[in-house]
Amino acid sequence: MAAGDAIGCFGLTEADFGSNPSGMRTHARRDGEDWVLEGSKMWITNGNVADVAVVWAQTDDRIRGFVVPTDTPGFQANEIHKKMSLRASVTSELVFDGVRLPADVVLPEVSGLRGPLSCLNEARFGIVFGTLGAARDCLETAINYSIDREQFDKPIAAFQLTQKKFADMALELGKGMLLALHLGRLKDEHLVRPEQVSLGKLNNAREALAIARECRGILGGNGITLEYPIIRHMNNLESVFTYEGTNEMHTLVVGEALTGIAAYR
Amino acid sequence: MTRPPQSPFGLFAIDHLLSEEERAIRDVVREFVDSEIRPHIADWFEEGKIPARELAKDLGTLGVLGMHLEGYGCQGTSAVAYGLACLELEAGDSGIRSLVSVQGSLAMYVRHPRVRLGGAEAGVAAAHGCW
Repeated sequence: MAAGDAIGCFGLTEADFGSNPSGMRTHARRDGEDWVLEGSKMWITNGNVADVAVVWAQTDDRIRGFVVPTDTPGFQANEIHKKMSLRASVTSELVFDGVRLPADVVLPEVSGLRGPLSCLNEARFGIVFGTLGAARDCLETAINYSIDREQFDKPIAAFQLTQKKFADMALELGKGMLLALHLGRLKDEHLVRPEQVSLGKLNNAREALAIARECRGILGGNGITLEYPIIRHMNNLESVFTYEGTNEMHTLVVGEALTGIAAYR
Repeated sequence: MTRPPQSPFGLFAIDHLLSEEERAIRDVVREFVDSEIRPHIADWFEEGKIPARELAKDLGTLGVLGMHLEGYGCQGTSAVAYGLACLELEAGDSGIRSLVSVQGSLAMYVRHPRVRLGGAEAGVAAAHGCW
């Protein structure tokens, strides 16, 4: 997989269980030595191109993870179309209709949500940085555009209103990067906690989306075409704002850290 | 204008916080995005299609799939270096970064012998290649 010869996907979210995966309906039952998987997963990145799927399912022993080769009989991936965001990405529904699996595909030593949530913490860490890339691309595009674009016989970059937008956006981008690097150094020392990754995901996804929207306005009509990257980033960031823990869930994780009270239970 | 403009990260002197290796990894990923993603991304987005197989191989050759993991052909870079790679990939497109996140942080992370989750099942791992 490191070489990219095989592609993987990760099935946790279901159509009716997004922020609350503990209610998932996909289940696996023992049948002799085998496992038999039934159910479905939704919003699965790479689903239709994956060679192998990591699927989380209810069992008699809490939630367990299963490594499912996608050519196993009963496994089906249906691509989700008509998306207006992440259009340069494959998103799928996975359906398991009596998918029979040998005993050794179950992930050992982990049951309950600790398994998938520790994976999500890894991916969220990447998003803490990633969102800043989309925001930087928007801001640099808008600054360059504003220096070239003239209205009222001067570059729109020379207007105080434009400069205030740039100053505010650069502050949020830079602060987000300082936070990301701080979390990264903590992670390299194995000290970063999940609620700290939530701080980063909450802030950086929110601010990146705000920066993309502000930059879209600076480009005027040109901001809505794919000739410039901004509306593409803006639409993509709507997904990033939601996936890997919604803005609301990360807010509540931070709220729980500050008060000791979990508001979502 | 009386002075040349500074980049937003330049204004914050972000490079000062990065090691030489981290800057080098960032630059390699940025060059990949400039040459392999930017020329095509608007068309991929408009058509709603990506050459996922070829992209996965190219990203594997670049070394970003599971780059912060160790063993099984993974590089074992710092978390910060992985973060910087994600930043540069998402400067290209969130969808491309999503492909890499799901592969490296979700699917490969689960099965990787280095991490407790999945429990160092080297035998099972070998059966699935890098797994």
